[in-house]
Amino acid sequence: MRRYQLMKKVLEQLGVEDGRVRLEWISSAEGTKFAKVMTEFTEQVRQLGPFKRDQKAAAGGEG
Amino acid sequence: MKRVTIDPITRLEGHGRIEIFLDDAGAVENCYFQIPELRGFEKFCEGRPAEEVPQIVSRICGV
Amino acid sequence: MSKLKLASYWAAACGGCDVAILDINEKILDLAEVADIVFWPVALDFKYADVEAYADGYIDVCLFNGAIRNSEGEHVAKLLRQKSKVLVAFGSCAIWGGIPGLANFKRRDDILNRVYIESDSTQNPERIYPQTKYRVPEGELELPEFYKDVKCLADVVDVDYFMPGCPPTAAQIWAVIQVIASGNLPPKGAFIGCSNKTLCDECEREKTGKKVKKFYRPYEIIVDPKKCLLEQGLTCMGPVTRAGCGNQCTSANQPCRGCYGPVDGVIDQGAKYISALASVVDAGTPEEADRIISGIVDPAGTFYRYGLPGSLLRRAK
Repeated sequence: MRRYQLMKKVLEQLGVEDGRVRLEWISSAEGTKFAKVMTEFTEQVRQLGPFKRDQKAAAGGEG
Repeated sequence: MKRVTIDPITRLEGHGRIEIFLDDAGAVENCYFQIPELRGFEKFCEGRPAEEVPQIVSRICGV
Repeated sequence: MSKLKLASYWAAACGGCDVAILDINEKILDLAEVADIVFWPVALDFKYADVEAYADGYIDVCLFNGAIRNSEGEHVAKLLRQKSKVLVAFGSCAIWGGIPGLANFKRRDDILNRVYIESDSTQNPERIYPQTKYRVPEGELELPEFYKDVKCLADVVDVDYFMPGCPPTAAQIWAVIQVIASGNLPPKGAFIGCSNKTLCDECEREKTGKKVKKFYRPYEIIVDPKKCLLEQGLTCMGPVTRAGCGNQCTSANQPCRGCYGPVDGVIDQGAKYISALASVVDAGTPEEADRIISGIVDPAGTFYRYGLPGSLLRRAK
């Protein structure tokens, strides 16, 4: 969890949007949850579109 | 018109080039000093903590 | 045996690597016994035209320092690759981009604007930027193209060896020159003039396994000269940085900034450090962890101080 929190801060500075990274704990017994999270996340990333560089001044622009 | 190119300028820190143009009599008509390098410390130091800057800008020139 | 032919070149660099070669002091005379230097802009007056006139493979070893920032750097890298039997990426800039690689946190246009328009010491009311081609009455002048990204040497040419450091230490340089002169070259792709241990492994500061409740900036703390800097709350990159520098920074109470890069097998030094650093955070809750982590002012710029262009992401978006 601490690794994830720190990684998020680094990725934010590098311009990787918040919505592209997500941490979930799902046990092998939670098939339904797994499907739901994966569907949601796939859709979310699709909405964000391709990870294109040089499109805008990112947080990295000030970081 | 004859053109003399000194490339690179040596025995100094950094990159430089001199273009000299001679007239038909062989006298210098004009000369241009060029610096074919930029790294951009002015920009990429922005966002770095003040206490880190001395270590970064010491790499402007190491000679 | 004929003398070795050596070359050294700087692309986007500061000259510190060249000076580090000179820091072998009087041994430079021993070097002159076994080698002729056939190109070295900082010290000798050879021109690009001289190098172009050499036969392919004429140079035995070329020590190439500096990152690839513009088309001239790439052009000379390709030229020297063609003319050299062995090409060494010399110093952190050539290997991972180094300090000039910090420019990959910024956009090309923002850099040019800051430098040529906004900077306080610049007067440029006509907003003139450097042009790759410029017509003057006497003819046409050319400047290299300033690339969008800083690249590493290995991005543009095949590299035989990598010698890390900002700069590599004189002792290591001398050791490497001796190896080169002996002809017993290591396998291609090897990192030379360094160890495969981490700086931590070689550090003599006392480690107790203490975790960190707060990260400090230098003005907030008086550093204990005997104890581990990381355990004192300084973001020392010793755990993920290759040894070989002689622990110069940590010996001076300065936390390591990672200039020797990662050890073999680690593909991203910054990511490795995220893992190492997070493991010393002493937090009971995610909120507390967040508060502690927030004490690190510029995590990306610190963890990728010398290596953003050579990292997995290569640049900020």
